[in-house]
Amino acid sequence: MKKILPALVAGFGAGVFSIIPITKALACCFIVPLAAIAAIYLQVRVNGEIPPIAISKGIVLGLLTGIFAAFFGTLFDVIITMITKTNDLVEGLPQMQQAFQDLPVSDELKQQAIDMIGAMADEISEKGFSLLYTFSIGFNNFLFDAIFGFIGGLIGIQIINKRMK
Amino acid sequence: MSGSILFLRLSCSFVLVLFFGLIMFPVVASFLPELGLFKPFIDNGISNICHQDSQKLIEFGQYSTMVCARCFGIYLGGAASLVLVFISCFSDVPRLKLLAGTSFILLSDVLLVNIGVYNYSKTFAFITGFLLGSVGFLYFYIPLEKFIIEKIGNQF
Repeated sequence: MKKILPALVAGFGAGVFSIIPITKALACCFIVPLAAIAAIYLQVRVNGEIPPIAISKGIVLGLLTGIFAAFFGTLFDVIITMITKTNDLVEGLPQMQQAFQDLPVSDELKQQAIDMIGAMADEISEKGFSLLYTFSIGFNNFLFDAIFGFIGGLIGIQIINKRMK
Repeated sequence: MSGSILFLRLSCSFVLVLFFGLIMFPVVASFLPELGLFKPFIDNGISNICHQDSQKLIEFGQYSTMVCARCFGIYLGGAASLVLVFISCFSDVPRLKLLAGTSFILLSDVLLVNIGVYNYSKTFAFITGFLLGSVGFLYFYIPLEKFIIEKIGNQF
């Protein structure tokens, strides 16, 4: 537990920032790598690890931070959607439907895609939860946050090792 | 150059080409209209890494990029650094001051635009992104090469 604690704390922080409207847009490419760097810093400060830290450890900490950030980010998003019964998908539905109308594909395919997204938005408006939507944001968050956590871990290890040499 | 490093460089180039295919999707879809159906899904995925404000996208004729000028600069800067790594211009990460400096320039531009000191400029945003992207990429890529050498060794 002590080994993953820095990643858990930093990932939780990143998860919180990923649902705040102003910082939301920066969550993945800015906040998650920063959280990964923070996790490595915490590893040095709290667990008393002496630099230079191995690159592999930075990668693992970065990946773990990304995974925790995705987990908490998705969890908070689902909880807020359950309470408010609205989210970006419901609010952006008219624009999304318009975007589908403009696509150069058959009308049947367009209709299928519009119906699928409409069903998700309806479920969210009525029950506050859609399994497909949860899966879709969960998948996106885990994929992108893990990648950016990995990148942050690699950058963080260089920064910490250089600064604390 | 060892086989494992060449493989890593080629893999990174392939990933970058794929990624540029995604961020330039409207241009790609103009050649293959059937792919257009995926645009909302790609849009949704890319919204994780960029705000995609329509006023800040780079336009190529009637098409525009899927990411803003700053993000496009960051990724293009990364691609430029990969080309420099390919011709062996870098074997170690640049000085930390360079990373701090380019980050400061980018963040200053964001801040000054947001508090209304001057208006948003796509060129400025692109240049600040390009600078940070090119330095930041080396901070990510060079340790990755070191890690590969450490784990796999020079043979492949």
